[in-house]
Amino acid sequence: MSKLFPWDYHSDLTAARLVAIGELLRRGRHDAVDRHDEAIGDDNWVLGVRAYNCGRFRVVEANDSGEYPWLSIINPSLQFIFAVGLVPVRFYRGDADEPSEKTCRVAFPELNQLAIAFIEEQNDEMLFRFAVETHFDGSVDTIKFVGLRHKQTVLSWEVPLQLGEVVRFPLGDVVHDEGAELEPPKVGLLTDDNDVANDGV
Amino acid sequence: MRMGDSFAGEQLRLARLAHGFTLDELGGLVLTTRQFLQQIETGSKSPSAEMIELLSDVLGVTEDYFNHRARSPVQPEQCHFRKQATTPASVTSQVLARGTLLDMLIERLDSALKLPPVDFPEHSAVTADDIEAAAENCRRHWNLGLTGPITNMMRVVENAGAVVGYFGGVSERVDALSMDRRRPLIIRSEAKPGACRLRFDLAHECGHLVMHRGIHTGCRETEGQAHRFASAFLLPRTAFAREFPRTRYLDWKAIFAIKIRWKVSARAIIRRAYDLGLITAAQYKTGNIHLNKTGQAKVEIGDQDIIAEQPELLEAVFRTLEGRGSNALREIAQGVGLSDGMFELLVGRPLPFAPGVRNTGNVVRLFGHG
Repeated sequence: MSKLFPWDYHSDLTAARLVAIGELLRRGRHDAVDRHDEAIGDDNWVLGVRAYNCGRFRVVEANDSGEYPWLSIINPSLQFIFAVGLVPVRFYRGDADEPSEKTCRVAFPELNQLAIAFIEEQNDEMLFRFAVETHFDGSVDTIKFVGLRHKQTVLSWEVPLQLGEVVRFPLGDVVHDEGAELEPPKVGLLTDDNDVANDGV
Repeated sequence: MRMGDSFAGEQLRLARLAHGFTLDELGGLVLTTRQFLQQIETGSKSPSAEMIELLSDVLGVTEDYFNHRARSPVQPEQCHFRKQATTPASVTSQVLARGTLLDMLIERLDSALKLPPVDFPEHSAVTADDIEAAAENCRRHWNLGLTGPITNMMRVVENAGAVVGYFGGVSERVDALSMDRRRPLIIRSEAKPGACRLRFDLAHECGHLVMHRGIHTGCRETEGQAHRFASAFLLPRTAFAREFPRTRYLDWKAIFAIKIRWKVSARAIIRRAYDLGLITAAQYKTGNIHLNKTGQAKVEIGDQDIIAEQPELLEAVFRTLEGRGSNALREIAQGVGLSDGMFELLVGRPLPFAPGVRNTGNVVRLFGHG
């Protein structure tokens, strides 16, 4: 059977959990974007560093809150690795379809956790990442949960974020409408109600 | 009672901040020290009659202004402006102070004049679908329909009771903002923004007033929601999706035709198309690069063909008062302690009559007291 979705690869990778992590990462990046200030010397490097650390912070904070019992931290350092259920995951900013060398690097704690997660299955060196794709201003465009094998993306699932989700809507008939003409705001003296109607025109 | 005993130090602070003066700067103008002014502001010392006169001259307020107390200063959560996290505290204080003083004036005008009733529907919206629905409900509520362009965004917000004003000299970090007061205020800090930009800014602030009453805004999430509202309000999804060209490559001729008809920038149009899933992320990125590479990052093709909308409500207020051939506007301004300098700072135009021409005999008195 072909595997299309994250949960096809491991039952711990449910949509709800991945959405929860996606929202944390988005919030972290936006914390950084909100504080980005070129007037005091911030540049793209600062934004990238801050966004990574803010994202990491949000995940650690969520883990500490106890509200995400399926979340755990494998490596809290700057080589940040966390686990969704048993599956180790990392995150990066960049294109989901073109992971960099750095993105594909695997650290020992991650390998170790992968061996635990897939103890009864053939994982075949599959790595899991959140890819955060951004707009020009650094804000989040989309977040994708990706599976990488031999430096190639073999799984790419777009996390449905609240504002990013495309809303379905019906297409009606073509209507020729030039828009409603609006009157200027009307103003009058309270002392003379008769003057109200046209004083503002 | 000694002179200065009823002096309200917080009023001095408000007027000083509205001008953007530091204690040192104001001290230099009234020939006193920063420390003394700080003591006056905190109420630990009282100023002399001469000092009050000097302060009122420099700050453009009446001497009586210092005996008033601002009843309800604008609070940060009532003020929606972008990039709040990186806006220096001095800029925020200046905006809040000017907002508080302008609000006092508007409240006074409201009690003397019949202005459009405040009519902003309230919607809480989090998801994209909520926001689309909120924008559509607002269009229905104001009888604007869902199939045509907004012919005049300025009139939409002014007819709904908002006052649109302009704060000159405020940092360029603050481009437009709104204040959720009894009568909402929408303030621009850019004197002459492009027509499309102004319309989008007004729709954005309208989104805050509809969705974010009592909510602390300025973060990426709430700004994103207000942006989505503006897009949805100006370009309702069903009508927009019918008109947007579905082609393999972006059809710029058609996009600019949509721009002229709907009076929304090409950049906002492709963003709307992307948000509605009408174009891919790659097409959206290509579109942005095209606009930048063709020199349309700030001014786009067709901008000159769209007439910039002007605020009309305050002008109508002034015209109504001036039309009575009276000193009424000055009387109202002075009623809240505003003299020529502060009035001009707040509304961007001078008071019509010089103080010496009050006794013309045809004054219509709006209030029993002066």
